[in-house]
Amino acid sequence: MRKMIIVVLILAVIFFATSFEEIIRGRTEIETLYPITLAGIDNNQNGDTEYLISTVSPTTEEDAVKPNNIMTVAGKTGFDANRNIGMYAENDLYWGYAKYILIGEEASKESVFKYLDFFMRDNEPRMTLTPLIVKGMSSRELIGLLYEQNIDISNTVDNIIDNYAILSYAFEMPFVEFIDLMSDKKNGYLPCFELEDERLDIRIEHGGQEPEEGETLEGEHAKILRSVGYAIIKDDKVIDYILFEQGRGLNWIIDEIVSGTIVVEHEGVKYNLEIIEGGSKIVPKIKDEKLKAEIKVNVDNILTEISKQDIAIDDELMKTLERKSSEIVKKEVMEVIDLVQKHEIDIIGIGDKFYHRYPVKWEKKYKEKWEDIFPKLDIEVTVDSTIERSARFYESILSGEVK
Amino acid sequence: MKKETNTKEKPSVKDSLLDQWVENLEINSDNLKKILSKSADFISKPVTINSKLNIVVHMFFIDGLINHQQISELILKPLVNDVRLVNVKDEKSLFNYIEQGVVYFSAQNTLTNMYEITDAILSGNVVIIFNELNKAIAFDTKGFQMRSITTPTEETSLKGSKDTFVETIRVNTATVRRKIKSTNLIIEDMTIGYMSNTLVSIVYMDNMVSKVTLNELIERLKSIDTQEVIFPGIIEEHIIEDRYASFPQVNYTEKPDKFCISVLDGKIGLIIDGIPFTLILPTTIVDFFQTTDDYTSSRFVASAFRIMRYTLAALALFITGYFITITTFHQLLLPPDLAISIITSREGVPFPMFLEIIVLVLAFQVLIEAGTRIYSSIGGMVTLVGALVVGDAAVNAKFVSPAAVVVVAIAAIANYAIPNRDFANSLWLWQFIMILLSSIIGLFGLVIGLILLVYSLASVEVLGVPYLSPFVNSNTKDAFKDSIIRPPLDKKTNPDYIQRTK
Amino acid sequence: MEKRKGKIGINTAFIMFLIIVFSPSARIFGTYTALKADQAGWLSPIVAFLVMAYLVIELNNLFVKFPSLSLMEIYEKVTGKILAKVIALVYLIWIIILTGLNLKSYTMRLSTAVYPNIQENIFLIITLVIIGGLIVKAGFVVASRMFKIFFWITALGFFVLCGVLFPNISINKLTPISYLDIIPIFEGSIAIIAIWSYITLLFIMSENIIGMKYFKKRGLQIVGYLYLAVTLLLVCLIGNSGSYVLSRSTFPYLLTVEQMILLETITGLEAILVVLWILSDFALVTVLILTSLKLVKYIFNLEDTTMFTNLVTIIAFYTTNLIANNYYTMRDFSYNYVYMINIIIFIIIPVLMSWFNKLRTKAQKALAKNSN
Repeated sequence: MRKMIIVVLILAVIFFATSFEEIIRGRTEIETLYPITLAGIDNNQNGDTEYLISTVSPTTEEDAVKPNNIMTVAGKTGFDANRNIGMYAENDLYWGYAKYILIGEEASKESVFKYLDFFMRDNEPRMTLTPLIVKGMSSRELIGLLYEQNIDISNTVDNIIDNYAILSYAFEMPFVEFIDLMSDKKNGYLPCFELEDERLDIRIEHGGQEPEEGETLEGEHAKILRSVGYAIIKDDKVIDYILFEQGRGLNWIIDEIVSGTIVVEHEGVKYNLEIIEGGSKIVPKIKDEKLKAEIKVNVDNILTEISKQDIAIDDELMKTLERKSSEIVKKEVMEVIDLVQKHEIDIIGIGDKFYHRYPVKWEKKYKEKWEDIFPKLDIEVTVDSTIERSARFYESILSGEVK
Repeated sequence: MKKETNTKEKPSVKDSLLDQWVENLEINSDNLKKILSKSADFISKPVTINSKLNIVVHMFFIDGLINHQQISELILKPLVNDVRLVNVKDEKSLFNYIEQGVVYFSAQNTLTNMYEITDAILSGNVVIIFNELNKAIAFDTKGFQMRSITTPTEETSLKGSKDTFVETIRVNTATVRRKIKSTNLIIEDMTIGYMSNTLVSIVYMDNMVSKVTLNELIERLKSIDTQEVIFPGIIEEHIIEDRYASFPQVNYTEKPDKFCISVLDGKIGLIIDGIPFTLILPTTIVDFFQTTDDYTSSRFVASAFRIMRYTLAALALFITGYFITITTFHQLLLPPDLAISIITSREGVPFPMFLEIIVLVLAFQVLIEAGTRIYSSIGGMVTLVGALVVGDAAVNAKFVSPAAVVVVAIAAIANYAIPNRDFANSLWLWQFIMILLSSIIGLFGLVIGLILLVYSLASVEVLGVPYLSPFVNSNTKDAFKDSIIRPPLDKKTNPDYIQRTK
Repeated sequence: MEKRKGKIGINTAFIMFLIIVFSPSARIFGTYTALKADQAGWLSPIVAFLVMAYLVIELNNLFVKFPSLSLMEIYEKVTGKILAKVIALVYLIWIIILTGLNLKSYTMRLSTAVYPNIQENIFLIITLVIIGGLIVKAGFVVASRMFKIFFWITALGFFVLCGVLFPNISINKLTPISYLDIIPIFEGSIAIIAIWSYITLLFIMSENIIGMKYFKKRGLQIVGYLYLAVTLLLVCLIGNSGSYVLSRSTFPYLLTVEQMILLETITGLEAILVVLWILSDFALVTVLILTSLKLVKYIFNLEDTTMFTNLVTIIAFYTTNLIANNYYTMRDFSYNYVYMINIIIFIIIPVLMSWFNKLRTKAQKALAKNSN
């Protein structure tokens, strides 16, 4: 123990010697950080500063008017741009709390990984950072427009992603999953966002914040951020988008459906089905050197709404509804399959299924030729939709007599 | 027949010589008065037995140490009233009569030298000296005012017995005897301290105790060369090996039930005269996480509580250091939302985080110190002022940030949950070391602190038993039985280290 | 009392073995097996397990034959004094290089993973001051006690991390397994065998370990546990991050743990990992220095080697700074040479010794028969 005291003393001398400050530069008080919660990255046409990074950071002053501080700076590389922002930030730029990184349309059409490399390689941003594609504008514009409306940007994105499950148009994909998806042929997909002009059918107001004069959500400037589906990436570039129901079609195939609605029209009446469970299975088959894939989709629904009363609900109607809803789902799925076959990219993982089912044959025969096989691959889709139950009432509410 | 030493002057400094001098003095009342009469509480009283023949004996005692009623009823009365004694012809027959039990007193002793006589008087005996015979008889009439057995104040228990040890050693040994009625219970006496001559009892079960440990302990006790044993610390310091270690290596208890459980487990108890706390040896780290209540509640509840105590100890040690680490070095480890709320709450606080934490930790300890030592009449004020200043005003005045207060409070509360105060205080000390190290170099410093802590614990052995038993040296499953999980009581065995060295 | 005897039990020794292999396992296996065997990497430990079981049996033959001797003294009995001393010298040099290598990778890991702005040497100095100044000087017994506590901490932390990682495993990333994977599995097991061969390193100090008659039984048990733990680790890593990402990563375990968010709020589980790393590396470096002191003692026939502690520590410091300047060269060095040399030194040499010893006893018996 006496030795220990001596050792502690030696250590103390080392630490508090004059070079102390130079050796240890790691210390940063937390309040001197400039925490970035969301960032956008774009390409910049101006000369050699190709990278344009826009950062969003929450305001920490109690009497702040706007919920965010934003900054946009260009640089030769992502890291360079990051350092340039650091020059102007009032505090130490800190990437550890960033949750989302938006990639502008132009940049995403040029190269996705080129712009993401800094965020993946550097050890300050977390591995849970989620990349998102912006459709229709640069991320800088998107951030700017939302900022003008006093919207807390990263919170909004957070809420949208939390609510993905409601419609199942897209799902969250952090870095590692994304890299894994892109690993084989640099093809893949990323969730994409769009800033929409306010339509008559959407109106959002936050009760908590009193809108400043001229900065209400209404009016011609009001824009609304929403998740629209997936951007398809081929050879590291975004080439197309699959939107809304099509996005759900992709989710059917990759088995990521949580919930959603299907509206079935039958004899002029609208029946609303709520998806309570959806699953799919891709069954690869090799028969006489011929490859075939079968996608079996399983949907469980609840009947939650009927637009017309006094309708007799019987087995026949149920069968019809099930059949019609199956068709709707099948159409969604087929659209996606047609699209990816047209683009000749296997982003839905059918090759992977063959690999898992027939590892030896795959490695020896088909792996090399897959790019040629896939566009012409025979893909069969079967959908089995069942209506499990009605919600509170099993008959039409005003259906007169109950059988 | 005067002895030569009688004429010598009383030696002044060297105490062993003093003892010798006293021992060699001739037994008579004058010599005794020479030694003791300077003290005001020393009472000498001549008792005339046979006035005709002028047979007088001298009676000596220390006022306050004896029971006056016993003396008058059981000693003086027979001496003066007994028909046989009234008619004795000389001191010799008187002495024989008394030795044969004419005086009806159970605990009597014939003493042969002056040293024994002084010792007996100072320990609360009444001594009757026969000047002509140069002999003395002592009656054990201890009857000083002593504190009655009260309920425990330092260690409370819910269902255990509510008695405590007191300052009187014989009362304490009797309490132990009452709980363990076994011939195997051995109580060995030993006198330590050449000035205070304090009686120390070593209590153990002959059939359970590890003889190696016992011999080691007795050796160490014998080697103690000290002036007085007024505080148990002097004995503790001589028993333990590593005096630089900060953790308590001896377990104190004021509760006879805890003491007896330990003795029955094969451990050794030390009872010191004048100290209402007993020492239990050997001690390992596990002992500081156990309470007697563990054995009276459901074993699942008790085990859960034990696990909680270990967790809380870890929390008390590390949470403040870790908080500094994550707020000043590795902000990546903080959840983003929490980080942003901490940033917001620290807006306007001028001091660095570690300074805040250090000041707060010190403030909490100062509050405890003040609360312990201060008069109870103003003790309430201390807590009130402390709570107001630390809790609210300091935060509002932007001296400290609320997050720091919360973290330090969590550490303090976790620390209070440790059953043993000595142990909790060392934890506090180490918490402080962790704070310093982690404020220097973050998580790495914290781990260095952990390594130093483990080192200092691992290098300690108490009477040859590793302090970290059974975690470091036991291989069988049985050894862990009563460590973290409380076993069913019929499966409870004595600790592994005792079994192995028995 | 136990402290004065300077001996530890066989179980404690094996627990020391577990703690010293934790850090190399956590940092190497994920990347290496994913690189060599892709999705089948988690099967590589089977091969390693078989090899290690064989090594344990052969070592046991030596230890049973020559009880209460140190490994070098056993070599001496088998091969004669001069050759044994030469082997001891080779061991010593290699162990010092290993010390440097491990320290380098340790400081590099700390500075890249958690302390981007701090000079690496500060970690090195602190670590060596504590190891050389305290732990090694306090002796084998105190060190073994410390490592036992480290072991409890590590076991707890490891299972917490596995508990977090396990639910997120995707079976897709661990399959398919076909006969095509057999050769990659063997290739992937090289690093594992090379690290597990530290068992020989630890038992260079066999004279300080009591209960060597249980070596085989306990040894096989421990290798079995280790196999299970490493398989669990690899399943967690590959099943979470996928072999593609892992084979490209610098710190596979850290990368995988970093992705975890508990209950959508609790982040920073990598702190547990960093703590376990530092503890395990402390143990490893301490054992390396203790064994090299043992070898110095054997080579120069010394009684007391306390005075050499500082020297060895200082040498370790300079080797560390000599070894490699950057991650890439160190990785190449490790992949191309270190594992093979480890296997030769810690597995092939003892196995050869055991064979040689068997042959010699047979020959002696035959001679005895003939002469009769």
